[in-house]
Amino acid sequence: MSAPSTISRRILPWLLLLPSAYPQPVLAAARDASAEAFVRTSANRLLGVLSDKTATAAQKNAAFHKAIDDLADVPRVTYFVLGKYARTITPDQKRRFALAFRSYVERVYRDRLSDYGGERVSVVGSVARKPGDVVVATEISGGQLDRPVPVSWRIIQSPGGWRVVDVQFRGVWLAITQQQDFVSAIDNAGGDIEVLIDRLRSDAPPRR
Amino acid sequence: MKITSKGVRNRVSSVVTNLGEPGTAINDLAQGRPRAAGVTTSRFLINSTVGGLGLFDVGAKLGLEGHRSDFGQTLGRYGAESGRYVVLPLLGPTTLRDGAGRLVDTMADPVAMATAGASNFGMIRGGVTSVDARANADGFIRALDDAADPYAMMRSAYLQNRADVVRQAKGGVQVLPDFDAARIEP
Repeated sequence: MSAPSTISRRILPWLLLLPSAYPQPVLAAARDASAEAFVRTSANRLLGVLSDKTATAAQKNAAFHKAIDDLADVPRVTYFVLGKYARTITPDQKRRFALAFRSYVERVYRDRLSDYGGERVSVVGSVARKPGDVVVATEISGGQLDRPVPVSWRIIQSPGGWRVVDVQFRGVWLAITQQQDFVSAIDNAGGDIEVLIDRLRSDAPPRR
Repeated sequence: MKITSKGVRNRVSSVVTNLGEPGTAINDLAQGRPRAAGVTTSRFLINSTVGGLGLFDVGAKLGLEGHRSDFGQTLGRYGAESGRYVVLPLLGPTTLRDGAGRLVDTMADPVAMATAGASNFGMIRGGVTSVDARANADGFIRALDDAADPYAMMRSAYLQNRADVVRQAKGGVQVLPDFDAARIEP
């Protein structure tokens, strides 16, 4: 585009007179290159699965299921979202909740992310909170987005390697929010986890 | 339901954001962030002129990235706690601190003061700002449809968002829960 270039040439020299135009000093922080590489690769693969126009719905669902396995520490997130109830859940409830939650998460995020297509994830930095626990800051841009959207990924070293346990968008961590949502729903049911399992199942589409 | 095109929504959003820049600049100064205030002022001057009254974010193309600051954040920057969480009719979720901050922002808004004599401008701006806020919240409202307890989800998301906004002004690291405690095999 030529208009912004012309504007840049005319205005930029004047902007340089403003102290605000100079970049702020960046504080040194412990970055983790392997964590950043993991997020860059896995997150782009996940977006690529959803934007694949050649795949059928069944192929897309299967690829999304696999991409979630490669990206997230599903068992850890599954029990984190139960909060205090993770300690009292029975083995049978644990098995049924895990199935219902997995189905719920895949359906919800497939629907939400289906609006996007052609976006790319680029890493802008990372902070190692402690060994094996890193927050990676990224920007998602291109595709349907008018401007880059900052998204942070909390990843933890799991037996299978790095895995995502939480994602932050506009200051809101999804797993933390999900935990408060689920714990409140169980509290409201007098501590009955079955109510939540039924709720998650009732939202699932009928099995074919 | 989306009636207008994405391009029109983006332009409306740009104008609404631009009209909020003077208020942001004042709060940046109140928070002791003159550099951020300079960026915001530069953005407002550029976008209001060569950006066609804020229709286009030329400032961002020149490397002047925008941000929002408000008086609730300013109060938080100086240590004010959020206080009780409430959901107000028409205004939606807020806290005592952020509700008071919103009131101050409205009363001290430079654009509102400058256009006080222009009949209907304030009313039109208020209406367009509300529609823009609702459009921007569309994704979150869809998320509430999937919640087991929509009230709890909205409360959690609002309080996290505001805590992060205050942390951006104060600096410091995020306090995050320990996922090790959740290491239970299925």
